[in-house]
Amino acid sequence: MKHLFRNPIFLSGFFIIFFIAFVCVFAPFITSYNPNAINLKEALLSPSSRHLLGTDTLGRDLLARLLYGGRVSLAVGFVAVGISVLIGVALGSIAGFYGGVIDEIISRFIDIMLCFPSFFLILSLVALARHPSLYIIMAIIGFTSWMSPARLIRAEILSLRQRNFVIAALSCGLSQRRVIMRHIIPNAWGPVMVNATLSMAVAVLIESSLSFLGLGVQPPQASWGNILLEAKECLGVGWWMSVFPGLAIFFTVLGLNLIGEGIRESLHK
Amino acid sequence: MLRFIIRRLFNIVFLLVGISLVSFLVIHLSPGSPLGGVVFNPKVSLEVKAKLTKIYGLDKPLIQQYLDWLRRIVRFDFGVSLLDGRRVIDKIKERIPLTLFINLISLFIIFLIALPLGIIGALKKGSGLDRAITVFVFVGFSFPSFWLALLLMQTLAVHWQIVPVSGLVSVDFPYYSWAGKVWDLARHLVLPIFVSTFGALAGISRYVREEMHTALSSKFIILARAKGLPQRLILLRHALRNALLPVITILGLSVPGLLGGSVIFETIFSLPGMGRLFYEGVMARDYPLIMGLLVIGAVLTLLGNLLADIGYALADPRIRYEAEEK
Amino acid sequence: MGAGVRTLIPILASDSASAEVCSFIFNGLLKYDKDLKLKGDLAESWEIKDGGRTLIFHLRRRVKWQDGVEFSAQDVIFTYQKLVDPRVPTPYSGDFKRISAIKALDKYTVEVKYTHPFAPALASWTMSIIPKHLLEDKDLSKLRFWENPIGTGPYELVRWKHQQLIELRANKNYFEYPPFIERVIFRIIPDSATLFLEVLSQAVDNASLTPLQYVVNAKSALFRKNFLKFRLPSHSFIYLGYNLENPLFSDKKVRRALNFAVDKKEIVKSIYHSQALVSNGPFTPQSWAYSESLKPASYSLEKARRLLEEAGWQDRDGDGILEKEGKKFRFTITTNQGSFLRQKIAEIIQHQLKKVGIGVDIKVVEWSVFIERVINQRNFDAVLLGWSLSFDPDLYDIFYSKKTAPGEFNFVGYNNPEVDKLLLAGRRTFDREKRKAIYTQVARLIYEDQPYMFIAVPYSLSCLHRRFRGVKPARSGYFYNFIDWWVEKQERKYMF
Repeated sequence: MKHLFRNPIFLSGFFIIFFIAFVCVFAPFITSYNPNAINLKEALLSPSSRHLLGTDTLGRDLLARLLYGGRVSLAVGFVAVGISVLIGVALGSIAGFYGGVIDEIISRFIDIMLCFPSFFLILSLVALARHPSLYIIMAIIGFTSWMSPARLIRAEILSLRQRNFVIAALSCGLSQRRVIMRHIIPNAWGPVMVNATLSMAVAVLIESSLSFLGLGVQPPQASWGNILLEAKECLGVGWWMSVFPGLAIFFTVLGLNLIGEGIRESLHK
Repeated sequence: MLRFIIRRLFNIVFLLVGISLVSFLVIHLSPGSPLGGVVFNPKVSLEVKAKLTKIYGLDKPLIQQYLDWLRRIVRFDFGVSLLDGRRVIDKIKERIPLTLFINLISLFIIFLIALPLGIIGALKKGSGLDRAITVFVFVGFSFPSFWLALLLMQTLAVHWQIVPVSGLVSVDFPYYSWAGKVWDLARHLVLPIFVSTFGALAGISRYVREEMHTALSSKFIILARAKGLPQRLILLRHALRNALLPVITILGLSVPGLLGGSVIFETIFSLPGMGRLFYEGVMARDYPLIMGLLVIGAVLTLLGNLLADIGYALADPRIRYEAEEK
Repeated sequence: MGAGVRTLIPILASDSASAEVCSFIFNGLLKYDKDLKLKGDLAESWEIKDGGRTLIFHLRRRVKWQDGVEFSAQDVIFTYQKLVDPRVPTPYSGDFKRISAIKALDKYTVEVKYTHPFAPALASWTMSIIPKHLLEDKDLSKLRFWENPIGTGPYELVRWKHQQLIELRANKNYFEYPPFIERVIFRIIPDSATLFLEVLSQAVDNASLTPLQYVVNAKSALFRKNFLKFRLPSHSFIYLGYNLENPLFSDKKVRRALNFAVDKKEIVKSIYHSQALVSNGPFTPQSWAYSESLKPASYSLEKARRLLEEAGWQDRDGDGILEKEGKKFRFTITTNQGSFLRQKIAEIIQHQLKKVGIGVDIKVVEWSVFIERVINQRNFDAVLLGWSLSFDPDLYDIFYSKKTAPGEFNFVGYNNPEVDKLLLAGRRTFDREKRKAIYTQVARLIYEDQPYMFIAVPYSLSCLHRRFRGVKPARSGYFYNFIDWWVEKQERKYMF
């Protein structure tokens, strides 16, 4: 951990994400506007002291929508990655530890899933879902991206199993489950964290791409992606509508990448 | 070697069956029907609708539909698109070349740029230059590609009119001279290729940097250094060769990502490739088309992996032994 | 255009892109002229006999298909046979099923008999005629794609690059006279923002515009220098359809209250940027059945509140939402994905109904799911949709009380015996004045019953490059005289 907080790449990423998450979580203290309050008389105003980032086509305050929308975008990234890590770690450690037929089945399943271009798969699932709600989108992204944490954990376990401390623990008569939970997973945690931050960045991008295709979080709920979708409809009219959410996505993804990179570097030290 | 190949082939058949089953289930367990787009018109009566269902065989049991489909895809017959009645395989065939063409050019450019960036990063690891490169490639990765595309279209294509906004070629393309055609195509592809390249620099340059670093710190390089070989020779002959081997596998692994990315930039740049075909199929609930594309997409991935494996095996004999001993 | 062309066989073309291209290549027996009156196309004249039971078409002579074969009555009969063939997946068979007999009196005369007088019959013969000699031995249920469509129309196909473009060339032997514009190219650009950027860079000559683009780009000098903007009345209206089986909406008072509570003028102003009219019922001003005398209800929160109270809805617990017998007034508006404007309208309705104490949720559903699960299974409280109607004012399919089976179009479950009677009468009456009186009455009754909240009639907005000459916009649009358009030599852009 000490390494980590001396790493400038990690630090810059950390501050970016901390700042963004902070303002989104404390949105009600930062803006008094309701993100969904329509005020048709103030539609499409450019940034001013009254509306710091301007308003959208229905006269809603853009800053408020960005902040509340950020909660949605960050939540999608966070929950989706949570799901994928959970599934990935579970399947990966089962495969790695038990080996044999179980490993074979899980590994083959991973191979099958990895053959699908994941955006193809996500797109069909989202489009085919009955009501593409926020939770469904989270679940779909999670269920289509667990393969790489699973592989990481499996590989890590295979190599750790040969290591002396695990062999020792097992020969002392500790139960296998205990060995996995206590000794193996904590050791494999580093690479999984790196992978998770990067996947979170990817998940935020996927959410915005889905919204861009009109398949993401549904209005009136704001997300960065669907604010951009609206901006697209008023291209050439309100630059503020596309610049600010674009930058928000950009900095979030950048920040997450830097964090991941920072962790990776400190692991190698 | 023969056993290795047989094993791989068997594995591929297994994967193909798995792929077909997964994609079939995904699509058929969902709501909506392929007739949706057709029938919302007051002049379409109920009998007509029943008639369409019957013609398309949607009333048969699910297992029957899957088996029928499986029996046919073995012969690359994916059935007929519900939208325009054309054979799915024909539709895919005419779209694949463009997607592959663009992605191969992108891959080539990515390697051309990412390789030196990665090597410099590894050589000067931890320096200011390394950090700057890191930030640069991550900046590329972090742009939402459709946003970048729209910004570039607005400035370069509309404001300055340097390049065309979208499309693959101009409408009067067939009447151009040979050179004119090449120039026209190039102008149209500048933006899409830039967008897909910029976003993908990060992955590969980071990978090269990692591998190069490992190679540089390995024992034989240290030995070479100790022998007093010139730096350039060490770099090109030994380190780079060892670092490049794993990069070959990245080729195979980047296929699914590139195909997925095609959906976005082919839609925004109006390029008639596989990605856009897929999106159209999904939106129209064109079952045969979606299944065909999922399968073809997965087959391309398999092919990419296989090529990478073979390339790797050819370049590094150790791999073959390991595979046989397994 | 946004969506790709799916087929160039006109009787199979159910999407607007295919239909548009087909209209350049094929002709019907009749067509609508610039004032939306029926006029001969492949038919020179026609007679109505037996009180509307028999139609006789006298065909134009010496019309050639684009491959040189002569057009005749047999092609008309062939087209009819394909339209009613159960194996042919055409969406247009409905009107033609009412035909009891069809025969060629001679090479240039066709007689069509109907079991009952059927007023929309004449309009149905605007259907494009397809060539018998080319399609006779083809199975239209399999061959939904035809690489080399041959029609009688002013343009013939040169190349068709799927999802990219369709290029048409002037038909030198067109029976009126060859069009001046040598080539027509349809480009397929799926993304609306990309399309608009293409317009700005002048790579596209003609495109439809969103209200925002239409209004705001009037101000851009670059756009004004190069483009003409068109605003034409359309045949479509946007409505909120209630599920009349839902107890919330079974009371007419409630539906009328909702109508008072939503400010349609505000919607027209803010969403359509005034590029729409407030709707006064199921007919648009473009239709001859439209009656000026019907006035849409004006916005009044007070009337809305009073009606709701009369219907027994009151906010007793002070949470801002009305209740009746312990049930809250809360419902869901479902609309389809992909329509930016409709989603915005739903959001405004949500906002405005909140003022009278009605809670609204919005659900946006992908189109085919929407049809299958929402409409066909009547699985909705209210749907926000639009109808695009044909020129004939027959509303039988939409409002007749028996048209409520899954997949039929009276999915709101509207049932008014008086309207039923009038709808049947309207189909059997040929005299336009009498029909108009019937439909005015229908519109009045329907507006009073409010099975739909009629919201707006949007204009169809488009732009056209200024280099085209001879363009004369009329009631039916500006494409009706396309064959008379020309471009000055120095302004021609493409090298063909």
